[in-house]
Amino acid sequence: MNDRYLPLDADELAADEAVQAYVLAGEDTGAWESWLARHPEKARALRDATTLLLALNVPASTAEADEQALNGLWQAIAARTQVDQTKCDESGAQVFDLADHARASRRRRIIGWSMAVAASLLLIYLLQPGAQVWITGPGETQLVLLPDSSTVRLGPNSRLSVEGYSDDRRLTLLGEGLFQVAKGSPFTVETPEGTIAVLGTSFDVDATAGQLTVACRTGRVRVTRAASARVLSATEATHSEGAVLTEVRTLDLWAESNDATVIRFYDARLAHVLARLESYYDRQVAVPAEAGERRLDVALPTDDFQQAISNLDYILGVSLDTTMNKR
Amino acid sequence: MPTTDRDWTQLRAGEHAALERLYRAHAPALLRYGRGLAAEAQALDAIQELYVRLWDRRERLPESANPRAYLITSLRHDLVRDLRREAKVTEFAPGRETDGEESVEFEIIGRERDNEQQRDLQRALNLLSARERELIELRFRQELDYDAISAVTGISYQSARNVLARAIGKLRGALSTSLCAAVGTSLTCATLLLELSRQTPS
Repeated sequence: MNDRYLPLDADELAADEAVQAYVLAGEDTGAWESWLARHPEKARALRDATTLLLALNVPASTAEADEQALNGLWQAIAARTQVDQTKCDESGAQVFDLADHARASRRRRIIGWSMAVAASLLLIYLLQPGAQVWITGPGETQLVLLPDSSTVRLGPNSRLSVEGYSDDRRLTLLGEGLFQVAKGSPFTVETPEGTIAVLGTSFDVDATAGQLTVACRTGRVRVTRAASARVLSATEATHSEGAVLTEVRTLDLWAESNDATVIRFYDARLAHVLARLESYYDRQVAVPAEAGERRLDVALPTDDFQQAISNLDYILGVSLDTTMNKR
Repeated sequence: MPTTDRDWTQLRAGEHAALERLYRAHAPALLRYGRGLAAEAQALDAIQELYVRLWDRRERLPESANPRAYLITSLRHDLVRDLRREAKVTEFAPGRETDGEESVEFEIIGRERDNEQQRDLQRALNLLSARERELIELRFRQELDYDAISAVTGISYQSARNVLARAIGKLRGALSTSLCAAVGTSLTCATLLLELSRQTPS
């Protein structure tokens, strides 16, 4: 034991790795005792350092609740990593697969926009025992509250069906939906483009007109389509009009609000934006010939048509021509 | 700290069971550490993504690594990135710290030893800066050495020592009364080591 420890006070001794090894693991005990015998004036400093190190060295224990959460989390990880292996054997299939966030269901997401979408018409058909269907027409949105407090904000001209919603939470979507998923068992959304499996996050899916747009609001989601895959964190999005997903982009405007009265577009063609607006408002909007292919990142209100058009007019620098649809 | 060098090698070779062993060995510590940086739900999400990524990129992992340090470094990176997006990261305030590095909010959440001494310690820990709390956690709860702490936090070896020494000084000052009463000022180091041997598995 050399004398480099002599100038050190109690705090500096406690911060020294060799002292920590001596106090916490009993290393070099003989050497330290010899050192103390030679330098009794350091006994107090070493004792103070020892006292504090012992107090700090509280072995971490795992609470029962943590064990449950971690066991649930492992099930999710195992499912995702083993599923990925299976996917390697597939080819050509157009798969749209979001992350599985399975964990113990100890928390439920607060439904932030639970009653915001009230102006809608709900059509429920009982196709067979245990199955329900929600259908929205032009200009209609619907907030669907599922038994486990998960919610779906169904966009216009969309159809959501649910069958046997219990241990296996499985839904079928045609069109557009914003999902806020309560934690629990696997949550699966089937669309014509593929299957979304997710648990405990919120995300937007726009699977209309042959394109896919996926935006993650909270948590993380994994999107795979054909040979491309992207992992989205909160406020990130990707989309595809073919077999390849675009690079992930962060969308500040998506992070501004979780307002149910806003529809957001990411790198969307103007023609697509206007088509979606027509669905929400049951109005016709002529697509300017010179700007139809222009791409926009934009958030537009779904409860104020004039404001939406005004925003687009400002962005595009044109005056859009609108007319009322005929029912 | 669990020894998982073989698990690391087997993971790189594509053995899925090794991933589970690494999870069982380190996930509780990761949750504890992640909970200090972010909300529990966010920490759990990040841990899940971390292990999925570990598997997806297993062939590109370094040949040798301290798994605990590697995982904590990755988790910290992910959580800080997410927290920065949510503007919940406390950036380093010039003049307040001396290590010149970014600081993140870090809370040590005590769950063990719900007794008076532990409560005193928790109160004393709350007097520390976020960076100081984080280093206390990494050194004494996660049992990382200074090299690993440096890798996790991005501060130098010497800065880590300095920050920890400063934290210890603050703690010792705050705890001087209660700790002396609890541990006993007349105890010698040898006695304390005996006490230690009853607390720490060999």
